[in-house]
Amino acid sequence: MLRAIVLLLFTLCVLTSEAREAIVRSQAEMFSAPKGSAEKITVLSKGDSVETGERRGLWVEVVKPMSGWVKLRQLTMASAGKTSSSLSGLQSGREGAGNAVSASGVRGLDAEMIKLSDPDPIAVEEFKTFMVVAVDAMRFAKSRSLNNREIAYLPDPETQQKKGNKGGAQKVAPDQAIKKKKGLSDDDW
Amino acid sequence: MFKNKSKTMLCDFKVNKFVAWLFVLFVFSAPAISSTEEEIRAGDQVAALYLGSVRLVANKKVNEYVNLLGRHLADQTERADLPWVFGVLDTDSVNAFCAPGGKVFVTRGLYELLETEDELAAVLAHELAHVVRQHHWKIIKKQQAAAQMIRRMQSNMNNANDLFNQMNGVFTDLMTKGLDKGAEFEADRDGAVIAARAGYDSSALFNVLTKLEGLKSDAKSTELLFQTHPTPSQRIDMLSIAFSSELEAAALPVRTDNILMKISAP
Repeated sequence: MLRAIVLLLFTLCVLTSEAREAIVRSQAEMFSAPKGSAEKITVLSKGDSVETGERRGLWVEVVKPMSGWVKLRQLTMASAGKTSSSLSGLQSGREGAGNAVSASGVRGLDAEMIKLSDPDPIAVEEFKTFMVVAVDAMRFAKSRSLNNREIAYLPDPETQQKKGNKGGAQKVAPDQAIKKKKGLSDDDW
Repeated sequence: MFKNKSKTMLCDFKVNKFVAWLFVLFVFSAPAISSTEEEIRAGDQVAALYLGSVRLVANKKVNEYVNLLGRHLADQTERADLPWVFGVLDTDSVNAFCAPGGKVFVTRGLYELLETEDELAAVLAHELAHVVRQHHWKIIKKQQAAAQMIRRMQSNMNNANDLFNQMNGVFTDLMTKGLDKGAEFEADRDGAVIAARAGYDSSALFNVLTKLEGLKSDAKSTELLFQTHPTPSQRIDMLSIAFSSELEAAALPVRTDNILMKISAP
């Protein structure tokens, strides 16, 4: 029984925590837990190489050279499983100007191609045949166990700041933004 | 005599009413189209320009899949009533596009960089946001030439297609030069919200942007993307400044069951 549990835990770990290399984008504070209020362990410098583990919301676990948590936006994921091949391909210039034709024979879409485009209204009609109705989309969402949530649009932080400066007031808390539907509390969804 | 007069008056009144009805009928059957209809038709022409350059991927299942996902996202917006349609363009270029009136494309190059459905939702939601805010349509309408075309089109629906063909220059200009940075940051903010409303990870856009950050900006496949958008780093910074605690709470851990449909070779 215990062995089964250990095995299960191990499988779960393997499934959820694939180690990935990442580069520190900007000086990043590392915390002991995925919260800004947790103990600060160290400060990573820009360009540092780290190995990441689990992701939790906007936080990423760092496992090497030491363990802790940093904000997702402070890292650039260097490689990611299957993606690494296409990433390194791009980085090595495989699709450089001299190699515009890919293996599948399709060229990249650049500004020149768009300017030279011969509009194809028949292709648009074919494209439109893929249109689905809301009922189908709802069934799809249900099959994916997607739960709709009420979330307010984010105000533009730049205009918020301007407003703040004018009135001498502090930046308006995003929570005060207009809710999509009125009478909604933060933990309603 | 008196009776006769009243009869004539009655008759006149009837005739006037008839004329009025004719007028009403004429006004409503006149070949003028609504503003949304104009927007959709302009979008058809923009889509014709994209599809005149590259085809949709041959895998029908993938196109059907992005339509289900895209439609579910569209239903979380104020413009759910548009005829939304989505497709994957068969090109190595890493990019996503939209056309006024609800047409959205993601390229195979970008699609293959994505790993989860959450990430695809983030990409599509960004494009949806451009359409919802009418970022492209507002610019097209502002162009004097376009405004004249639209007026001429309103007076004669029959030549609408010809007129749109003459507007291709306006469209391609916008397609190759892109929007201003502010509109892109706005689409990032709205996109994260739309995806989260649909039940997807609100932080998936960060994943996508960090992936784009790792790409060479001068490669043929990323040239157009980097020409028409602020740098991924700038976008990450702007999005994280704007992120609300409500949206942060809608961030989900990476879901292993949330696998993206693969584009198999045609």
